[in-house]
Amino acid sequence: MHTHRLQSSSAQFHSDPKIGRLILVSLVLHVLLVLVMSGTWFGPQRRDQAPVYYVDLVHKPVLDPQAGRPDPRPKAKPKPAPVKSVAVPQPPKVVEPKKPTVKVAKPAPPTVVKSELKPDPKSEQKLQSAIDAMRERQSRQAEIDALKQKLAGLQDTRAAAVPADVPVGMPTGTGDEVGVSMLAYIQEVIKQNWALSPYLLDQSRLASIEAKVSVRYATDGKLVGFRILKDSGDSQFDDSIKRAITKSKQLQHKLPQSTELTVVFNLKEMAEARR
Amino acid sequence: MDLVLNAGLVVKLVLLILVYFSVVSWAIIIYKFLIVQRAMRQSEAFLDFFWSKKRFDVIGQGLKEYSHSPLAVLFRDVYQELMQSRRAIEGQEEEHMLADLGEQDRVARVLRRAMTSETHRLEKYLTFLATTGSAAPFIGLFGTVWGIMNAFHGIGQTGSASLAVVAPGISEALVATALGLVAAIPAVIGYNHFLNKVNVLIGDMDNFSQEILNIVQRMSRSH
Repeated sequence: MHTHRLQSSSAQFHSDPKIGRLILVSLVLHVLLVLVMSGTWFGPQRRDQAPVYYVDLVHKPVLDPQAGRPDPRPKAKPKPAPVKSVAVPQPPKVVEPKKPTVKVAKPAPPTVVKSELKPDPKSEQKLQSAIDAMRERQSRQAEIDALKQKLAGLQDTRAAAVPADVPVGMPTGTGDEVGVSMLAYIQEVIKQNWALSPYLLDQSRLASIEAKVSVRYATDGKLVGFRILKDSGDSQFDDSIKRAITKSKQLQHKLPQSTELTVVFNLKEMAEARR
Repeated sequence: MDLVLNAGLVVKLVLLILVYFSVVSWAIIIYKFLIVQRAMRQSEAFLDFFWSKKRFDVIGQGLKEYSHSPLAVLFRDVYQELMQSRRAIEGQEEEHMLADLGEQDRVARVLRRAMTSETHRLEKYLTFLATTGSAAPFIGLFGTVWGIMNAFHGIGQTGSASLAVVAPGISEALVATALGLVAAIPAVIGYNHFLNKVNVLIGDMDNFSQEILNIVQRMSRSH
């Protein structure tokens, strides 16, 4: 009892500072320090974030430049068209040589009539030689036409081998491969189906919104499911991503295995790509 | 700030514990600074006052000015004890403090008790600083190890070991160690500093106790 009395009198004698109040002061100091460190008090110091580019340095270049395109290379349609167009000029050329024969036949009767009227061996000889020369010319013309036709045929086959308006791939490429980088192909399909509103594109100047989505595809190229790993916080942006993935629910190529990949949707990056 | 917000639950918990350690440590450092500074300043002043006055009753009346000095507390307890014994013995002169041989032992006990009490007061909360100094880096290290474990697990799942996948996890994890060191370093420095000051004060109290005992003994002999 005596000790307690002394201790309590000692406490009254000292009047030490309250630790609870000091903890509060310390907490305020910590908060101030965090504010100072985070730069909140020095005004907005927004750094312009550079867009992120993902460069695949590991995979080999695709076998065919067409690979990775969601639409297949146009194939058979242009083939028959050039063959027909080259073949059309042929008939008139074949008919042409016939006309001179008719023309030759027409002037012939008067000469015959004349010869009957005035039988001249010299004129007959001249006429015969003229006819021979004409026939020779006709046969040469026919030969030239035949050669031209052959040449046209050869050109048609070469044109059919490489269709026009399509980028030529590697000599060993077949033109309809998915490509070595299957993940890049799927990403490209989804991003091509991603439509951004002009409002969002304007917003890209203010902030770089980003979302991360995990997408899973089956071997037949069908979308099995997707999961948003990190949403952007902007409902419009997230909706546009969902629309893009739903649009890409069926790939045009089969995949060698069921695939799950993470696609990063970056507004700033896309906006710069569209400009 | 994003590093903390993006961290996992365990790392967040570790960070919270470390923030608690840091806040309380700084509160104790401020508390100790106020207590020890005042105690040393007033003890010095009290000793000057004590040796300048010859009479205990005069000194006893001026004690209120040195309320934060542990030496003043020692003297006050001794003075109270002597006053009580004086009241017990009738017919004693008021101006001279008279003491018998039994009174010396009582004064010694009072001094020992007061010293223990003051030592406790001066060393109060110092153990928390010692705990923070030794435990906070380990708690932070635990958060880092946990965060890096999660980061490597993430690398295993994505199958990609690129810098973009590895770096954020490790960066988040290292925040825990950084905060552990931020909490521990001031705590260790504060603990060593205040322990040294408290030891000086304890030495002063010890010396002062011997002086008082000598005075009481001289008084009893003169009686």
